[in-house]
Amino acid sequence: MKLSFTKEEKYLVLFLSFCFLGFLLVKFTGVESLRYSFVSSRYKAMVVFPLDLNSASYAELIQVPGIGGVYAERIIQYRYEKDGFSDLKELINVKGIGDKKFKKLLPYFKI
Amino acid sequence: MRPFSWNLFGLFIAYIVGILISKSGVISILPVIILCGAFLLLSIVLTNKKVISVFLILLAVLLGFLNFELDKSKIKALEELSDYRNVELKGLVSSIPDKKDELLKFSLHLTGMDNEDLDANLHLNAYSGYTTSIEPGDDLVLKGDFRKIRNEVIFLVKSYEIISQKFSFKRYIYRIKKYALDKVDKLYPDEYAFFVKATILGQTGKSIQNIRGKFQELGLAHILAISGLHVGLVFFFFLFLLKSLYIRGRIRGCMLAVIMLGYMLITGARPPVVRATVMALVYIYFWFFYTKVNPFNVLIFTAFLMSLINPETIFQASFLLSFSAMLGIFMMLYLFTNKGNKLFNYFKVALGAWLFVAPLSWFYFKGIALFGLLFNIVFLPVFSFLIACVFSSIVASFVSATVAIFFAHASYPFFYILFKVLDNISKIRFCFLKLPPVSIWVVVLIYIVLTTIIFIVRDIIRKKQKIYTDSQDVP
Repeated sequence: MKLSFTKEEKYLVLFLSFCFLGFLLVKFTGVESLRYSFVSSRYKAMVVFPLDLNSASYAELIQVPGIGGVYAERIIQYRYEKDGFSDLKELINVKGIGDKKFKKLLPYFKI
Repeated sequence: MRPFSWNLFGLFIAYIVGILISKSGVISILPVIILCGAFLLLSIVLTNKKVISVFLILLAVLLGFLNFELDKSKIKALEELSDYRNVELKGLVSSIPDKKDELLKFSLHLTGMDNEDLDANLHLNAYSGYTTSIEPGDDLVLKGDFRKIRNEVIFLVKSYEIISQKFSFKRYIYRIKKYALDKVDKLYPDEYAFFVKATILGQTGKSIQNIRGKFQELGLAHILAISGLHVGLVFFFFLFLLKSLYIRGRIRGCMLAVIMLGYMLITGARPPVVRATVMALVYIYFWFFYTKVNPFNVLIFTAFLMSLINPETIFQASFLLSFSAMLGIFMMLYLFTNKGNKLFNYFKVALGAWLFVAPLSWFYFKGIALFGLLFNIVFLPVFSFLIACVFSSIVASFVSATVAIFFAHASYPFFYILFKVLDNISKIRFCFLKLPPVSIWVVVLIYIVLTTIIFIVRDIIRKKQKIYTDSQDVP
């Protein structure tokens, strides 16, 4: 029996094959090894710790170990809403930063 | 192909001339008004086609002038407010809020100021701290300051209160956007989520700003901001999806039109997106009547429509870049026809866009991406696949989390390869040829020369083809 595909079906099969290939790669290598940060690799050399919590940019904040894009955005948002941090202890008020994380982050910041 | 409409082109140019007269403020519009009146009378009396054409052209000049004057009066009214600080405003959120520079940007229809009602129909952009609680259709009382940034009067919100929630279909589109953004955060790691949010949902942040310069130097800036390329890919994605679901005929056309309009609103209705959406809608409309359209006519019609709605748009870089790229693509595709060779067509598309964007890139960015053509040819297929993958994962997340994860995970290796290769390429020097500043008139001249060369080459090729076919006919 000869299989015949329409043009759309051919594209669909090709697309799904690539998806399946990508999925298999993730399964074999793991998600973590396939993370590549275009932003952080470019700005790594420019960051000097400790960072000023009130003036650090998004690109600088995401260089801090334990801070990704979401936390960096939350810190910037908090800074905007409260007109800046008056004390480093206020960092604990940022959503998602608990005691443990706060202690880890403390050496990387100054006011 | 249908013939090129010189009438539409003439009217559009006349309309642009009207806008330029108003913008320059040097030339008086009075002679045009008098001439317009005279030709109106003449066309009534003589009913001559040529006289009517002149009258219509003068009318288009007048329309352009008046439209821009109206726009200027609104800008002037807003500029009078720019010194006010610590004021209380009443207003209605009229656009889908957008995240910009880590702040929330939304269009506000002013209804009152400091407890006094305003009659003027004023719209301005407001910026507040990022929040998801402000939605389109919300009646707000806001406290904050007016500021003038880059010739635009904006309102910086310090505090706000939602008074009432009016019906707005944009509210539901915004909720879909919020849901999709939330899903992107869950499905993709931070390293890729910012890219997905910017390229699919139009939400830019600091991460995008940090890499935009590098993408510009590589000639791939159009990948980062939502452009016609994305709209085109989304259009074909849904067309393919609806075809696969055996939805056919006019129902498919209607569904596509609704999806494209929704997508335009979700992404913030930027000029390239509006351009691509209007063009897609025009194609769908003509598809209903089973007639073919001239792509150049569609391009002019879309530019005309957009400049009618907002005359200021014709001076925006994104508008000019988007239309020049499309003009280049159409010229290459339709002036040099080669039936069946898809690879050559793909090259022509990339070449057309690169050639026609280069002069404007020189004007706006003081340089040209030397290898932009090569990078576009290499990376666009990968990027198209990524768009399809990401879109599949977002659409699937509304139905099944497992399928969504499958598509999201499938895209990780491709993201990894794309980012790593681009990061390394961007370190190469001389990707971007820096040039001295150039005047707009030189840019116009370059476009005229470029177009003339294209037509000359086209004629030479046609002549050669004719000689070849004639020699084949000789027994």
